[in-house]
Amino acid sequence: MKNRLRVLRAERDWSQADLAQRLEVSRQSVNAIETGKFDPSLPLAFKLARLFEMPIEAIFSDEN
Amino acid sequence: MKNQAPNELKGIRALLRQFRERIGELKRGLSPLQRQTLKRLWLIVMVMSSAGCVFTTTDKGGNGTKVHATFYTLLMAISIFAILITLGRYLAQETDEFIRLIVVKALLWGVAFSTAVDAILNTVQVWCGDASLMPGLQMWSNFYFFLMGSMLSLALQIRRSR
Repeated sequence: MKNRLRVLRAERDWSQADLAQRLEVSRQSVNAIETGKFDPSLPLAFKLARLFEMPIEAIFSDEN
Repeated sequence: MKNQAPNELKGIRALLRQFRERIGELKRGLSPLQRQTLKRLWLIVMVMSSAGCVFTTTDKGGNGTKVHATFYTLLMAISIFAILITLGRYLAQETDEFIRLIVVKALLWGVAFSTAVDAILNTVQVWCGDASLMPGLQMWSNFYFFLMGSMLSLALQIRRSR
């Protein structure tokens, strides 16, 4: 699954650690999601959507 | 030659300092739950190791009493259960799903590693045809292999996701 997390984070000038703190997860989790090594669960995806104030499909997109 | 020794000592000291700093960094990066779990694991492993040492020095070359052997067996079994319960509780309480995933992966690698070591040593034992040539693999030594494999895998996965 592709995501725009890195871009959205850069737009807000947040570091991976900043985003991790806001999401209450580890920095490794943010890094793994950004690099596509790990797909977040629905609760975490909703949390991201709420944080960036946009729908989930604007952050994540299916590669197919 | 005289100058070499202080230089080597300096090198060792620098390595030790780096090691201490690295451990410090790792400790700072741990959550309270992870720190608590590690403390518990260390405590259990230390009790297990101490009990192992006491048993091997007091069992008179495998001729200890039944009570002695039963006590030791129970202690080992309880330690293994305690480790599994500690890991289970950690997994249940860990809120970070990615960390949970890599810990589960590490535990699976630990199982694979200990099974592989067990299979290799047993094959060599059968191949030698003389069990005395190879150290016997006991359940608790298997568990050390499991912990070693898990920790190694965890370290590699954390390094990969830095």
